[in-house]
Amino acid sequence: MLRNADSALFKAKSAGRDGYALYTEELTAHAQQRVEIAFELRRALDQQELRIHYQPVHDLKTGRLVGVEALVRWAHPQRGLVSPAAFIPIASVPG
Amino acid sequence: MIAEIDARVMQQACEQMCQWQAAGVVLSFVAVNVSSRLFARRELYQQVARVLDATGLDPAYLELEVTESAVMDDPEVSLEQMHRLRELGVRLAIDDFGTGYSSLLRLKRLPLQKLKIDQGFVTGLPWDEDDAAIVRVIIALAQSMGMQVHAEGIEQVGQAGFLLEHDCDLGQGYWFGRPLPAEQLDWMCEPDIR
Repeated sequence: MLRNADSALFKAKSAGRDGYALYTEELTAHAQQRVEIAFELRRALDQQELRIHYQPVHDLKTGRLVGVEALVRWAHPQRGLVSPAAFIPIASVPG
Repeated sequence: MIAEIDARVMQQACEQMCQWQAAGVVLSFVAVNVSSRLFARRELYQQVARVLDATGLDPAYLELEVTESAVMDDPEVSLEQMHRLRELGVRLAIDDFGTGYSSLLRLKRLPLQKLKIDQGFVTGLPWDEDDAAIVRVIIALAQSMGMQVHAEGIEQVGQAGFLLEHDCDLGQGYWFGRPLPAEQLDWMCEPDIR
């Protein structure tokens, strides 16, 4: 029960200050998924599965490609290329 | 863990930029995102200095993007952090501009070179009157403060056309090109907006 309460506390904290959250079974699944992704991400870093892609930036007046933005992509062995939004929030948890 | 990812991206992007320069590719900048967690750390300055030193990249070609919310979280600390980074010679940009709670009083004190207009305002161009009004104001704000202005999320020629007509400097989005591995970029691509 304590673990479940902790999941709810985590959810409430993620939503900002002065909030509350009720425990649901989905929350446990969510917490488990976070743990799994964090674990896989650690492996990804060790196995060099993170790839950098570059998105072109153009000068609007001349049309020329003048710069690039470096964006990280995770080449997951099963799920394919995963976008940063899917794993960066998990990576932000210390540890 | 995120700091480790950020550090690797920065290191690799700088190495790649050096390789492009050696190959004769003319680019004004390579932009790297700095997470709010990393931006809040004092060590960021040393980390950037180390990467520049290790790769030999001229700092003027490295642009660090920080989100508006990360900057406004703790404005005093951010101001100090940005000044330290500027002393290294790197360029600073605000990412997702317009989505946080920017204080203009604070914005004017930040040593910024660029504002990036969030794609949420680009989506409705050129038809949505609110988006059009907001984008015009951000362009005017950036230009009158001596900053470059860069629009994200351009997916249609009509959006690029509106931005060009209103003197936006730079554009990025699927209409120009998706993010690609370094070797697949097409340097000759010059899409015709008009």
